[in-house]
Amino acid sequence: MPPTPVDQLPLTISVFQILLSLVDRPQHGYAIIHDVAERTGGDVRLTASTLYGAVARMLDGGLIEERAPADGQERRRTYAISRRGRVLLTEEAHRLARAAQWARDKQVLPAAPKSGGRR
Amino acid sequence: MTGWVARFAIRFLPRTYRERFGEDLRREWSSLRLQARRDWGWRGEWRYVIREVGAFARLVCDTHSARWADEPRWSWSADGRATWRHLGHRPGRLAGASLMLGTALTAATVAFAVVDAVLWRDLPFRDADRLVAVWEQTGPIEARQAGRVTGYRFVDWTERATTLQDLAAFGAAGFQVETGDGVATVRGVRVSGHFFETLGVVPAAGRVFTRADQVVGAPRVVVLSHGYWQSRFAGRAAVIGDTLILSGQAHTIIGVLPDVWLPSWPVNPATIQLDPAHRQLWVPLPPGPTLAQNTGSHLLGVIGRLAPGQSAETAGQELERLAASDQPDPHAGVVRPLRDQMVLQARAPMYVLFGAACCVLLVACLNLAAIDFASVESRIEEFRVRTALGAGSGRLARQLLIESIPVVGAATMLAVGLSHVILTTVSATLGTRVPLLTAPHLDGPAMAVLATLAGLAGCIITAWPIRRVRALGRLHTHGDRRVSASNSPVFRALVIGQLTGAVALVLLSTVLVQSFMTIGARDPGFDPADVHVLEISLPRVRYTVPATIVSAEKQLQERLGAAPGVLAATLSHDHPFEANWLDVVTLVGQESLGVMQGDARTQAHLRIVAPNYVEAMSARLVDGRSFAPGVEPGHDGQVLVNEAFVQRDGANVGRQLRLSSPRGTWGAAVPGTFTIVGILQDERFLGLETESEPAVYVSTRQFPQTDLSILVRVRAGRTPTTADLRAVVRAVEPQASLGTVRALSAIEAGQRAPRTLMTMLIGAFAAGTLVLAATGLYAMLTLLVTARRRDIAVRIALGATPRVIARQAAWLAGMPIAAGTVLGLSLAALGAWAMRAVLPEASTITPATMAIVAAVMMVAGACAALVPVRRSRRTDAAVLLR
Repeated sequence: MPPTPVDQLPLTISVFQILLSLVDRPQHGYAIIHDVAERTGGDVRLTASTLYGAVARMLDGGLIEERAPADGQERRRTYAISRRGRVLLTEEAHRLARAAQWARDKQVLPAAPKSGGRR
Repeated sequence: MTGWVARFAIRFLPRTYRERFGEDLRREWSSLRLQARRDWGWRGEWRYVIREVGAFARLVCDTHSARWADEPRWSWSADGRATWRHLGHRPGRLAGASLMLGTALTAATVAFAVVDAVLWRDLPFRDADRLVAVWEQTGPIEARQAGRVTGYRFVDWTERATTLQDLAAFGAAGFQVETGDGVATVRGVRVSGHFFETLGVVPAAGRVFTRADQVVGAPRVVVLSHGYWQSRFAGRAAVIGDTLILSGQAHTIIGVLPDVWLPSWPVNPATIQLDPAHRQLWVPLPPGPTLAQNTGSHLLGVIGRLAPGQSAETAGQELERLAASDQPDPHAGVVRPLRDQMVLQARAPMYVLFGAACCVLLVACLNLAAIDFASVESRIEEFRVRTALGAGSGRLARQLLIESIPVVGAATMLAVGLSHVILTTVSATLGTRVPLLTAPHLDGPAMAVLATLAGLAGCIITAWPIRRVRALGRLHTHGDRRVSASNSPVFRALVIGQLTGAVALVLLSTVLVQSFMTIGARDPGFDPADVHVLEISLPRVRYTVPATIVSAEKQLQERLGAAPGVLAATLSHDHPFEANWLDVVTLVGQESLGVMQGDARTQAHLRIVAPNYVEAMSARLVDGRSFAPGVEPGHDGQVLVNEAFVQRDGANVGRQLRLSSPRGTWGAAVPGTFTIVGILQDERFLGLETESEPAVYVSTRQFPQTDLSILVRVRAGRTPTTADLRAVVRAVEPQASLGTVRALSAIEAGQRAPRTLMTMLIGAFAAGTLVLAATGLYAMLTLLVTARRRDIAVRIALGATPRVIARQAAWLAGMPIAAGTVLGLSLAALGAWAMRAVLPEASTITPATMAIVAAVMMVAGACAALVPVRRSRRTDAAVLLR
């Protein structure tokens, strides 16, 4: 039986961040690395080897899809999030939110000003 | 990672992955590296590169594990079993290859550890990079030479130099130390109060000196070296606070130094002694004001710590500016980084040593690779079957890599053991000749280098055979294109190169051995057989006038001569293989051929010997007579001179001369003018390797000395113990300080130790290259015979006899042997010619030597060729042509 998306949880940080970067639009490798670094304020810095190691696994797992090089992006392949990848990303985000809530319940984290629970 | 590095790196990835992402990876590496440099400078760039290398290593592992996980048919255990079967049938080959690779790895590891200890490892001092040695520029302007420093100059620099944060002085010292067995002379160092503070030395026990220990009226204190603490006090911790009598004065032991090298015993020109025997006891120098009064005696070495932001050059420029001609000591200073001071001379030989060891390792690997290649050729059917069953070229390559693991593993273990043994003995062997500022160990860096070299060796050994099996995998798509290295001109040139090197080194080592033996057979001008030396010092406080010294000396000579087993006994200031006294000699003017000549001043070695020295040492008189037996301080002065003196100055028997030292020491109690009463054949008192220089022999009766060498000739085979001679000396003077008894032949052998070491090293390299060359020849012939086995089979099928086949194989061996021998002989002739420029006594290479070496090479070549030639004889045409 093929693995369901939930079987692939939890995602590694690099896979999670790459999927987040591809939510809005397809991007090439260099743009993904920059987007992750900017979005996380430098907390997560992907190396090229880490990125392409993850990209290979995500392509094989059907989480992302390869797109033909866009105009003006000479020979750069871009990657887009797939339906399966989007489902997995949502599940992972919920899992992390639940984990954060558990931490708040135990007052490891301060209480959130508004409820950030699962809708 | 960029350019060729990136292209090289991505070859480590599996081909499928490489083809998918290789180009993207290279592009992102380049972009991210440039971005890091723009954002954070070169430090950020390097941080990025280091992170990227780590991530890439993980990527390589991940991608390969994923690929291998998809190929279950050929498991690691199956490959391991195949390797065991393959090597189990060839234990001799496994042992031989491991031995050869292990020896080469040992040479490279030991060379690295020694080079690391000498050149690269941090000195055991605080901020060692800022430490410098400071010397004075002395001598005439046209030939300025760096040398020791006066007390005045040291104090002046300490007060005025701003580029040097701390300055500390050190000088040589000798102490008469009372032991349970009498008095012994121990060498030590006098240092300024902040010497250890400048270096940042932490004591092993107690404390080291402070500035308070160098002031007027401070208690007398001593710090022990680690070695002296162990040998004299057996490492007893409670020794701190004990009293030690040094030259009759009580000193309190305040500390023990760690077991590290420390600057000590400065000698001219600008050298620091390495021998630990020179730094056993440490005491403070006199106070600064006392030191400042010394404006003429250059006795001190100086170390300093550069102020932050300063360099040795800027410090040197400042010391140049501080020198002024109106000062009592007007000389400028020279500043050298402390490590450069100690290792400058050794740097080039160290790199050559490491390079040579790596070359030997590379050649050994190439030879083993060739042998492996031949082995793959003979197993080609096996690989074809595996390819037909679905094994990819990568799978076959992996099998070859696994097959190399036992050889490389056994070689590595052998190298670890051998390196450990060699490195534990190398410090003691080379400690006083090579600046081993830290002891070489098989530590982390050395093990890392060994592991890296072993890994590289494994790659080199398997690279060629892997190329062959990968080509085999491509045969299905590219036709039957044979890939063979058997005709590779590079490999043939390599084998001929090895043979050339072996012939040249064997010949040169014979030249060295010949010159070594020539020097050993030189006539020293006296008979050193069965002569033993004991150095003694009479206490100066009791021996203040010549008469008392002469009286003690007569008693000593008498009692030693009567001691059991002693054939002859005499005394001298320096023993016959050392010369420490140069004196100004004035030849008194005389009338010659009716012309009155004035006085002539010259310089000569002063040999101060007992009147019976000539007879006791069997020195040979060529003219005149020896000293009169009853010569006394108050008698007319008598001297002997050597042939070199006569040749240079033309002074003969009867000529009068004046010596500056006797009157300078004893005043009118000794003669001022001496008459030459005899001429001695030249003695090689500078060692057998050095020609004699002009010397004047004066009697100990007319220039009495408190520091003497007792020379006793004993019956053959009887070695006098220190206790025997000590008892005789004690009977005459209980307070005399004594050394240990040494044989004159051992002293001479010690002087020739560097040459012995060089001869042994060249000999070992020659033997090593001979083995390498024989292995290379074996590998090449095995390759040729294996590659041509089908041709051989065809010839046999057409009627060629095994004898004809063997003759053809032997001809293949003869060509490189002949070429290597001819080239090697030419190279050796050139080498011997160059060697004679450095070693004048080096002999020429005679035709007989050439013939012998050529014969040795032929025999070695024949042994190497034996197995391949026999293999060619046994070729079974029916099997090969099936």
